[in-house]
Amino acid sequence: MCDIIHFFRTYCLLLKLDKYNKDFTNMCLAIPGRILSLDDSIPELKMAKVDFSGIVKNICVQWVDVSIGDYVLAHAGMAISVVNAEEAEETLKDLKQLTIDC
Amino acid sequence: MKYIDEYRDKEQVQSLVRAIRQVVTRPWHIMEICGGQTHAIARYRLEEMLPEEVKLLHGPGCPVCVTPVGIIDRAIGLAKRPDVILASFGDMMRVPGSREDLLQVKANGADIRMLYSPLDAVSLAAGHPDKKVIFFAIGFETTAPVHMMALKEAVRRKLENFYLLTSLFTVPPAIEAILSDPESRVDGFLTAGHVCAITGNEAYHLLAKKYKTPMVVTGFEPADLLLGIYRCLLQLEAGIYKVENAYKRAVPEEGNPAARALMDETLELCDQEWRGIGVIPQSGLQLKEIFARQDASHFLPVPEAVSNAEDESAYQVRPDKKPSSMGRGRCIAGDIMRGTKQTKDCPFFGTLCTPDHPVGAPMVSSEGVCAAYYRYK
Repeated sequence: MCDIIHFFRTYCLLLKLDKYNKDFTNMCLAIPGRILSLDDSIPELKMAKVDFSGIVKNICVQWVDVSIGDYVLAHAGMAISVVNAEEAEETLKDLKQLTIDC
Repeated sequence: MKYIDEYRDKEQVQSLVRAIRQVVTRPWHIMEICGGQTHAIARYRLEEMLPEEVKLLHGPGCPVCVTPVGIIDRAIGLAKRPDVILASFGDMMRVPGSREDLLQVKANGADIRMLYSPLDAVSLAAGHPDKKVIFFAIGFETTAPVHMMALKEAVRRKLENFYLLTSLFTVPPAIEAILSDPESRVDGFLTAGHVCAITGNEAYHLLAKKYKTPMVVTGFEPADLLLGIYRCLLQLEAGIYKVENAYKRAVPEEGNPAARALMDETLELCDQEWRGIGVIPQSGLQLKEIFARQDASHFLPVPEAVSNAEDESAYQVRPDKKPSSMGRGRCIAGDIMRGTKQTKDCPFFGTLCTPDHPVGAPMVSSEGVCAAYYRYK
């Protein structure tokens, strides 16, 4: 009987873990999101509501200088850099040039 | 999804592959050291698109995989205490310690919580003043400052019950260890874009020059990865070796000074054991003495089990799963991470060692090289 309970508990945990792993919030992948609003009420812990293609999360923006509408890369709850729109354009231009050349 | 979809564009990917085929004239080995890149390369099957001459190697870029067995045993020991809530990233739950993993320990009643962010552990500590809340703080330079942010926030809120059990690694010493190995086959490196978003590129300039090896800061989407590989190949074919940034939209040359200042304030370099590789001097980060009170490693003595990476038993096939015909087995994760072997060289890959019953850490973590190859093969 104890074995069955133990097995059931492990199975439920594995299901939960599987769901967690499928969640976009994979530990190792920082992904870009758009700043919806800012909250400076705690100066040591500046926060923002960030939209990741429809999923909104609270992200700490203490290390970046951002305004509403900017895109940040968020990792494990922190914004680690601001996506540089000009550089993004430059890279896309380079890639398009490659499409023409090859 | 802005800033993602554009870099998954099929035409871009195909033109990059064509460009790579045009530039390659001889065999090259390119290594990445980043769990996220390992995973993306396997997921998008990028290696299959590349010409045969280009071999991708997967270095020790997954902190889940390289966390030493002894520290996992320590985390397990702490989690079993009734006055402790252990919080961890989900990836760590099924990594085998010397006898069991955190998931089994949780199934047996230990209070272990899976969290997305170390900052959530601070709220947990505030909500459970009667418990010691310990966050299993693993990571490279991208994640280390996030753990430190949680630490500072706990201090700011005067929480006496918040602790960190750290297992923190830095990338440049691993690159140095790999390149200084006489058996190394690595010709060029893709550096982890998000690590560089924090650290900046300075350390890599020194390495590129010292070992005459090109290093290209690379992102994670298919076009980003192929662009990084392409730029690395251009350098290799031309015989040049410098640091190039192929992920400029996310990585400024100077990285993130605020995050680094926080790391300087709270952490110091230390010798660090890497599971599967051994001790690499000055390759880890530990809490400074002033934060000794929040350092959970002081709670328990080093477990007797396995604190030595050379101990064969840490990598043996688990006795209950040992087939009589195979004899003593050994996980070759270390050889794979150093680039001297590949997953296809492993006798257990896909048979005795699968994500359901893993032998070593790289088959457990979703960012581990073996799990990535298994899932997408």
